[in-house]
Amino acid sequence: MNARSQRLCAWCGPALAVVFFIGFWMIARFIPPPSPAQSAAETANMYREHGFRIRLGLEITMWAGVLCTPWVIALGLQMKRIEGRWAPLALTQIGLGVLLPLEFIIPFYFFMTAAYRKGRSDESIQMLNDLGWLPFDGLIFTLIGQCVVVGIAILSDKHEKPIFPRWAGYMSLWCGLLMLPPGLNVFFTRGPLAWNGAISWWVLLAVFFVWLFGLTYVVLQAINDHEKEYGAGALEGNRGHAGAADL
Amino acid sequence: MTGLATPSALSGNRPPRVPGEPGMWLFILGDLLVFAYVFAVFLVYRADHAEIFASSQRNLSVGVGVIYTLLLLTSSMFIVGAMSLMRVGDRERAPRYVLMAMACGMAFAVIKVFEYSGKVHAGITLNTNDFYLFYFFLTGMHLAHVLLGLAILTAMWFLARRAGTPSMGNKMRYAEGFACFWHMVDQLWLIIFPLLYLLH
Repeated sequence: MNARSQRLCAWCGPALAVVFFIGFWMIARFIPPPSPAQSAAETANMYREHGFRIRLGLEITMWAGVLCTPWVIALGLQMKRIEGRWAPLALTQIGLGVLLPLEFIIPFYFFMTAAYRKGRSDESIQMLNDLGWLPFDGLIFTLIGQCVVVGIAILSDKHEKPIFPRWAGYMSLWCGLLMLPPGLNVFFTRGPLAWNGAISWWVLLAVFFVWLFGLTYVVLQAINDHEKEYGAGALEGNRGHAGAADL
Repeated sequence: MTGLATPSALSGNRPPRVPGEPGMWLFILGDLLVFAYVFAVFLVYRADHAEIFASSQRNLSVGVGVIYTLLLLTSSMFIVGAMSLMRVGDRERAPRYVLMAMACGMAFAVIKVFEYSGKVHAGITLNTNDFYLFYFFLTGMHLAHVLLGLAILTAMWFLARRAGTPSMGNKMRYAEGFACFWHMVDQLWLIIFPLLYLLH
C-alpha cells in the first residue's frame, strides 16, 4: 500500500480544476461560452481575432484532461476496498473515467482547428465551433455513469466501518442526476438548455466541481484510513501477507 | 436499564435524530435547491415572454394536472401508511401499501407518456417555444425523479417484507429515507403543477 502515490493521484483533482480555470477561463476566455445563437460570421470573427489566446488557453487546458486519469484511479482504488477482490463497480468507474481526457482533448482540437486557418469560410469555422461545444458541454454520458456507479458502490458498502461516508454516495447520485440536462443541448441554439445556458452550462459547471472536490475529500480521508489499517510499516512495500483488507 | 427516565417526545430526553440518513437529506435538499433555481429561471423567462406563456398554457389540460396531483398525494398517503405499518412490524400489509403507492406512481408515468405523445402528435415539442421548453423540461426532470422514486419504492417494498423480523436490523432509517424521497417527488409536483398549469 503506497499512501503517498495515492494521495498524489487524488490531488490531481484539485490540480485539474486550477489548470482548467487558468487555461479555459483566464486565457481562452471561454467562460462564459460563446453563444450558439451567434451568426456564423460572428463566430468566425471571434476565432480570427482571438485565435491565438484561444489556442494557447486550450493547449494548457488539455492537461486538465490528462490529470483526470490519476484522480479517477485514486477514486477507483479506494472504491475497490468496498467490493474486495472482484470489484466490478470500481473497475467500471475506472473504465468510464479514463475517457475523460479524450472528452477534453477531442473537442479542444475542434476549437483549435477552427482557429487554425483564418481564411476558412464562416460556416466551416462555425461548424468546428459547434463540434467542440456540443460535446464539451453535452457529453455527460460517461460522467453520469461514473456518478451512478460511485453512488451505488458507496451506498452498498457492507463494512462495519464504511470505506466512504454515506453522504458521499448520495452526493454522487445527486450530481449524476443534475448532469442529465446538458445532453439536451443538441436541440437548442438559445435558452437555458443551450450549451451556454443557465441549466446546461452553469449548473453543470457547478455540479462537476462539487462532485470533484467532494469526492477528492472523501478519497483522501479513505486513504488515511487505509494507511492506518496497515500500520506505518506497510509504506515500505509489500510485506507478503495480503489480508482481506489488502484488496 | 433501570434508573433511566423513559424518554418521551415531550420530555426531551431523546437525542435529536434526523429521519432517514443525513446523506439522503443532502440529496433531497440539494435537489430542491436546483429545482428552485430552475423555477426562478422559468419565472424570469415568463416575465419576458408573458404573451407566449399565457397562450401556450391554455393548451395544457388542468384536469389532467389535477389527476396527477391526486395520484401523487394518494401515493404519499399510502407511503405514510406503509411506514406506520412497518414500525409495528406488519409485514403482511406494509408491502401492499408500498405497492399501491407504486401503482399510483406508475399510473402517473403512463398518463404522462400519453400527455407527451398527444403534444408531439400535435406538433408541439421542446423547441416550439420557451413555454413548452419549460413544460417538457420541468415535467421531464420530475418524471425522471418519479421513475427513480419507483426504483426506490421497490427497494422499500423489499424492506417492508422484512418489517418486524430480526433481519430488518436498524434498516428502518433506510425506509424513512426512501419515504422522504417519495414525499419530495410529491412536493415538487405540488409546485410544478401551479407554475405550469395554473399561474396566469
